[in-house]
Amino acid sequence: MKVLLVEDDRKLGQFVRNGLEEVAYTTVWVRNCAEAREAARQGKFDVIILDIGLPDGNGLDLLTEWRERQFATYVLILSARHEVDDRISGLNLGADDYLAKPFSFGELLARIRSLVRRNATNKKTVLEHRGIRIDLLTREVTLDGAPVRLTQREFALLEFFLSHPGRVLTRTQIAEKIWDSHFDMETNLVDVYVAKLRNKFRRSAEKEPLFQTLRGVGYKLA
Amino acid sequence: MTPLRTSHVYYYAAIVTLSVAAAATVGYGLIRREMLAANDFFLNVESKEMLSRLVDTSAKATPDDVNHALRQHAEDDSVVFYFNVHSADGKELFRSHNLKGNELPMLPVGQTKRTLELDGFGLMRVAQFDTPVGPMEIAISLKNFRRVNESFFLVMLGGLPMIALFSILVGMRLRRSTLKPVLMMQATASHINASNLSERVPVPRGDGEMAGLARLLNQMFDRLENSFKQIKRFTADTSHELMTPLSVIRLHAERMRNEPASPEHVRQSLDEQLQEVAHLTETLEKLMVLTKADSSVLPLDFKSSSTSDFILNFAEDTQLLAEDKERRFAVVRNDAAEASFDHGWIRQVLLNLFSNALRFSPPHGVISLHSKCENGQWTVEVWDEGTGVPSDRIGELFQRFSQINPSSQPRSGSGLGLAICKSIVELHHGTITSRNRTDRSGFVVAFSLPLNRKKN
Repeated sequence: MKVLLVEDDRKLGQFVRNGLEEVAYTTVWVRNCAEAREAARQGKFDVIILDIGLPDGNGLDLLTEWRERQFATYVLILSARHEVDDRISGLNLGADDYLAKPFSFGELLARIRSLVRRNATNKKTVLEHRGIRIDLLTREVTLDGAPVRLTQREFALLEFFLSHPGRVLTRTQIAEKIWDSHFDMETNLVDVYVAKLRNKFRRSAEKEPLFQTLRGVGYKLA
Repeated sequence: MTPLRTSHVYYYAAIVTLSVAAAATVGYGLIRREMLAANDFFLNVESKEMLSRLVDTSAKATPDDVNHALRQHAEDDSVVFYFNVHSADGKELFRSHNLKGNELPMLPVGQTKRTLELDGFGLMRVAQFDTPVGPMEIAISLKNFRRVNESFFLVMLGGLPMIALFSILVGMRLRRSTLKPVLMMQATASHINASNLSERVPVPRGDGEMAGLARLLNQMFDRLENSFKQIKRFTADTSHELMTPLSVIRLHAERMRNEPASPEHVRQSLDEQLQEVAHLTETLEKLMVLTKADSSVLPLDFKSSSTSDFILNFAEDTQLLAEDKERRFAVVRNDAAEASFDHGWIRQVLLNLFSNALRFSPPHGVISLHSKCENGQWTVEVWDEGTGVPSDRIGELFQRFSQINPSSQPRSGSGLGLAICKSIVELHHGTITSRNRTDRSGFVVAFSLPLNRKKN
């Protein structure tokens, strides 16, 4: 996995590069638009992490330039929320994801992994995982063959988990997906819903819990 | 606005029509007078003819004498004139044949000409002249005069509505061509908002008032765009300058926190630090939202939808959140109507009011939501069963950094939540108010947004 990190802040850039290299991602760190342009031209990257406020220009302009030239690498925008008008405008310009500063490293990693595996998402209409079975067409949910009644939101959340088994889904990712919310909800709504799902899919003797909590990051369907 | 502009056209058409009607009436009067004068002239001329035949007749003349003097001429002119002569004492001396059995009426003393209706003859102009034998009446038929009058009247009767219609049509056309540049400016100006401030109103050709107005508007938009840009740059720069170092602090703290070798007391202090970072981040983001809302650069996505659906959707989540905190939540009233609003932000406002209510509710307390649609307003009230707010401090609630929390609650919010709610509601042209409950202890926060106007 090869990552291009475009970030002008020395300390932040250093931390992110070191962190990525610790998980064995080859990381090229550049600190302005000109270097980013050059690096993108020469190397082949899986993901570009792009800051918006750069000393010699705006990251969004760089992104527009790349997209106009059909440059298809996944781009994750990393910026303070109000640097872009809202999250949508970043995505409209062709960014694949957006992460607001200050972020946690776990969230950044989860997002990068989501991006890279994005094209692997299946188009199945029935999802199954450890005895849970959901039919996206009839909206029927069963646990070991027994029907489970879910509200619309619970269903959407379960579908999100089952589409990404074994992957970390962060609270913000879940909030964005289920509530289409582009700002902090100030509530533990995501946790409450995951707890609901947990209760509905609890088996008496299970060694490994289905919905695992990853402290400070989010949840994972084990 | 449309009725006003259209009413101008009707006003114009009414003026045109009334002017034409007035001119026609005056013209009618003049024509009438001229025609009567012409008839009177003929009568005068004719009377001279007749008088010349009576000069030699004495006052004591018999009907035969008068008949002899006048008959021939009366016969000659009988197509046009009618004659009747009386003696001074009122005896009839002569009557032209064309009068048949009728007599021309004697005019009262002092009146020499008169227009009157005569049975079998229609409208007549009668003139009276003194002759040596006595008063002579000569009459002329006003049949033609009447016909002209009637035609004139008919033409006016049919013509005026035509003129009114025509002037309305011309007026509409005129209005359209005059208002076209204004309407174009209006259309452009009305859709210029925070998100497309670089657009400008079209400037009509030439140096007219319209072009001047358009240029003036555009200059105003230039200045507006500039100040919007400054606010945007300010929030962007501030965010960048503050959030990047916060990221570094957070990343390092989290890393150390998750280090298995870190002793427990270090972990605890790192947790505190992370909480402070989160709190600082939240406060900064809210300040940015307020800064943007203050200068109307906050992008709002207005969508029309049913208020009851929106509330039900919201209640689904709040129900669970309340249960999680061992409080009860109830939608007491949920009227259905259509309103246009930014769903994300109004949801955020509601969530904020709900979170406050949750925080101040006693265990097992009920938080109730009342959504009313009345008099063109959508009013949503969130009621709690907490201790309420001292009445002298209710006014401070929506101020920035106001902290009117119960003393048992340490710093539990940024003190910006209600200020943001107020800004968001006001950007929706709504109002937000609060009051203590009167039925029991507790607090109510209510906001009202305009409903969509009903289309009939």
